[in-house]
Amino acid sequence: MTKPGFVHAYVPVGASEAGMSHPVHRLETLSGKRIGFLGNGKPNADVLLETLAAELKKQSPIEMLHFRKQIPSLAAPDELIAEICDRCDAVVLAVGD
Amino acid sequence: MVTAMFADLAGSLLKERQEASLPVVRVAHPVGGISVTEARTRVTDDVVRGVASSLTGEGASSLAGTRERDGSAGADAGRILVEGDEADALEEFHRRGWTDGLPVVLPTEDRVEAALRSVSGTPLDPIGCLLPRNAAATLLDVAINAVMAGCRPEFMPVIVAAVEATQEADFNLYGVQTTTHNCGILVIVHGPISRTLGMNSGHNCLGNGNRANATIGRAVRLVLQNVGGATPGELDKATLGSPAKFTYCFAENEEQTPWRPFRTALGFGAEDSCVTVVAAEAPHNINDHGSSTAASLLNTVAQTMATVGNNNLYVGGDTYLILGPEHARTIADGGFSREGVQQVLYERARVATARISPGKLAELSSWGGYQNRLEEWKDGIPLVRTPGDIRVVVAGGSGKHSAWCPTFGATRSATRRIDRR
Repeated sequence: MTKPGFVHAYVPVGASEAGMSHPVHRLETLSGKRIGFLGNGKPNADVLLETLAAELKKQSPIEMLHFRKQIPSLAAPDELIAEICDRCDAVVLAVGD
Repeated sequence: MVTAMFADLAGSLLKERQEASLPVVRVAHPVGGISVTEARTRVTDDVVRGVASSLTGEGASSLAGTRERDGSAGADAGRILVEGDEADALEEFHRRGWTDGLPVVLPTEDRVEAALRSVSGTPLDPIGCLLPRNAAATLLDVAINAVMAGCRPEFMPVIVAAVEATQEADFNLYGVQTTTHNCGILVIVHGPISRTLGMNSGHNCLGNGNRANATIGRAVRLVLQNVGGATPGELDKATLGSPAKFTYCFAENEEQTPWRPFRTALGFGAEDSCVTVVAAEAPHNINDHGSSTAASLLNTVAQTMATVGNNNLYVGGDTYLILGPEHARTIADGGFSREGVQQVLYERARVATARISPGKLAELSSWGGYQNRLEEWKDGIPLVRTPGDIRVVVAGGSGKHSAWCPTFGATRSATRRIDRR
């Protein structure tokens, strides 16, 4: 392993999980679709998403479903994600501060 | 949708999680702390067009790119070859962002193997999946970072158990690693192993001067930064951070604890050695040289804790009180058990709603369950949700000081027995 004039060491970052990547499903049209909106629970996240939803509805006849996390610092629970998947054709998330 | 200041967090996360095709639309920062009217203006025509086209795949863009952290030239099968001497290699480690900013020990093969010999298991044994990077950490990864932190090989079992403890679901490693809050990872070592390793549980135990205290805490931080992906300013979005993010570790002073040791109170055995991880702020001093009674001293502690800006008050979780031995003795001599201390602090460490800004109260009221309890708590919001959430540990030397370590709030500490020896 040794090579004159070089130093060997271990890389400290390990390896990330492979095989997670998958293509994101896209809609052919927004018309008639049920779009979910999930905010992170921080102040005004609901304002941002409600404004966006209203603007999108002006453009296309969509059905809007709003969801929220209980506490911003906790990931959305699996049950909530499953509900969104069951009820919505697509979902818009808002992350910020 | 991501505010511009957090777009790099989203981009790094998507990159590390290999979700590169997930589209991201930026809005102007900030969204919080502005009026509703101004918040609405963040949704510009460009934002609406961006979201609409992302949903239908027309012109969608993503912030994600190719991974750079470990796939660069020179890195091969987990090793790096650097031209020059050890000093050149260490400069390369700094350049790649693999350090905490302070000099590290180069993780050479012989040093890492020595660390691995001090812990049971094989190098590729999984230790857990470290978020947010979703990295499958191995014993080898822990050993590499422990060497870098300056650990002696025999510290390894403590570090491994501490990293394993961060895997508890309620610890919320994902949130802890990426939050804007300034929490570090407080590592508390309990039981016989702390004495075997020569850890400091006495004077200045939260300060400098003891190799085990200093490097065990540093090793846990390096594992979470390097393997877990909490790179400062990228996935670690701490607004200010804290010195506690370099290292934050002490041993419980069981000899001067007037009650049962912390570990046996949790149900571990008398011979067990354990480690606790806490996503905590740096310690806040509690000075009381004047009180000679438990009631008076506990009032000082409670009033120190009853602050408006800490996360526990708003989010819950558990919080840590580190009693100096002299304070602990005064309180115990007053007839208080550990549970009695928890109860009285739960009752007295409260914040009147009038001390909290209307905007902050409104934010809290939007969170589940909080609004309903404001009526119940009209005389004061408790620091945490149950008395048992005020954890009490004794540490330190002589003197009339104690410390309170508020936590991230959306987290609960985790204690593990140290088994891998």
